[in-house]
Amino acid sequence: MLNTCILKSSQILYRSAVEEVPDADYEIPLGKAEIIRPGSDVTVVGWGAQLRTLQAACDLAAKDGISCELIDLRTILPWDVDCIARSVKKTGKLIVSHEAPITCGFGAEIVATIQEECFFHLEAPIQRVCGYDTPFGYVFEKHYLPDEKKNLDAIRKVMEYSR
Amino acid sequence: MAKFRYGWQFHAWSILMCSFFDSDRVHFLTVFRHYLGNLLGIEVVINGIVEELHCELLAVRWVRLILPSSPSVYLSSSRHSSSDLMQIDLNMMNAKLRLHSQVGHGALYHSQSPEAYLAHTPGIVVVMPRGPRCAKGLLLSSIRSKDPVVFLEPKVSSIFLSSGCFLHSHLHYYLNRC
Repeated sequence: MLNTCILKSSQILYRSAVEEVPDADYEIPLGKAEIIRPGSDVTVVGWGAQLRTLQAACDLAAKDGISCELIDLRTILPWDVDCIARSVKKTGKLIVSHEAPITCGFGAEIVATIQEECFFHLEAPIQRVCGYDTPFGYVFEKHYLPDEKKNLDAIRKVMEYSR
Repeated sequence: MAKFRYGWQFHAWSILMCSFFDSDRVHFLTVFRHYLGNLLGIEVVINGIVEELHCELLAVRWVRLILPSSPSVYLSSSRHSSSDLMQIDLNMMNAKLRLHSQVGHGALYHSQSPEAYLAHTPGIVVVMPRGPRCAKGLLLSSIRSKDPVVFLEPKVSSIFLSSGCFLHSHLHYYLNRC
C-alpha cells in the first residue's frame, strides 16, 4: 500500500522521459510482453506511454486494496497472447487501455482473443478504457483521455463482480 | 549508465544506432506533413536504398502525419521483399514512427491511432516501448530482426521534457542542438 507522498513522487517519474539506460548492448525480445508489476485481482494491459497512466491507476487501486497485474505489451504485432492469457486465467479479470478510439483499436483484438482463450476463467466482462470515437478539440482533451481515474473506475467495476 | 531521453530527440537515436552500426549503413529520413512529400520521399528513398544496397537500416521520422504515407511504405516494402528477397535484408524497412496520440496540442491529430492501423498490415512487426530503457533494448532487437519492424515512439515524453539530453559525454554537443 502506497501513501500519498510516494504516489505523488511516482507520478512525477511517470511523466519523465529520462531514464538511466545501460551503455551495454542489450536486446529485448520482440513479441514478448513484460509483467511490470505482479498482482492477483485484475490484469491491466497497455503499451507505450499509456503505461504511465496505468501505473498511476494501479497505485490508486492498491490504496483500495486491489492488487493489479500490470502488463506492458511492448510488441503490438505479433502480440504475446500467452502472457496475457496466463495472467487472465489467474486473475479472472482484464482491462485493456489505450488512447486511440475504442472502435477497432488494438484493444478490441486483445479482448476478442482473450475471451476465446480464457472464456471459462473470466469472472467479469472485459473492460476497454480507451478514447472516444471522435476527433477532439484541445479544450476537450481532459474528457477524451483514458486517464488514471477512468482506469480506476474500470478496475473497481470489475472487482464488483467478484464480491 | 547513461542518462538517455527519447521522444523529440530523434538524433539521439540516430547517434545510438550509428554507434552500433556502421554509420554509412544507417539511413535517416525526415518526412514532413506534406502528403505528396510523404509518398514521394519514402518511395524515392526506399528505391534508392534498394538500388544502392548500402543501407542496413532505414529510420523514418514522420512529422505530424503518418497515415497518408504508410500505404506507400508497405507497398514498397512488400514489393521489394518479394522480388529482391535474396539480395536485401528485409530489416532495412525498420522504420521508426512517432506516435501521434495525445500530445497536448492540436485537435485532429489526437484521434490518430497508428498502432491499430499498422497492426492490420500482415507481415510486419509493430513495436512500442514505454520508456528509454525499454526502447533501447527493443530498438536493437528490431534492427537485428530479420523481419520488417515498425518502431513506434510515444511522443508524449517529448512534450514534458524537451530540452537537452545526454547519451554519451562526447555526444553532448550534438544532442543539445536537437
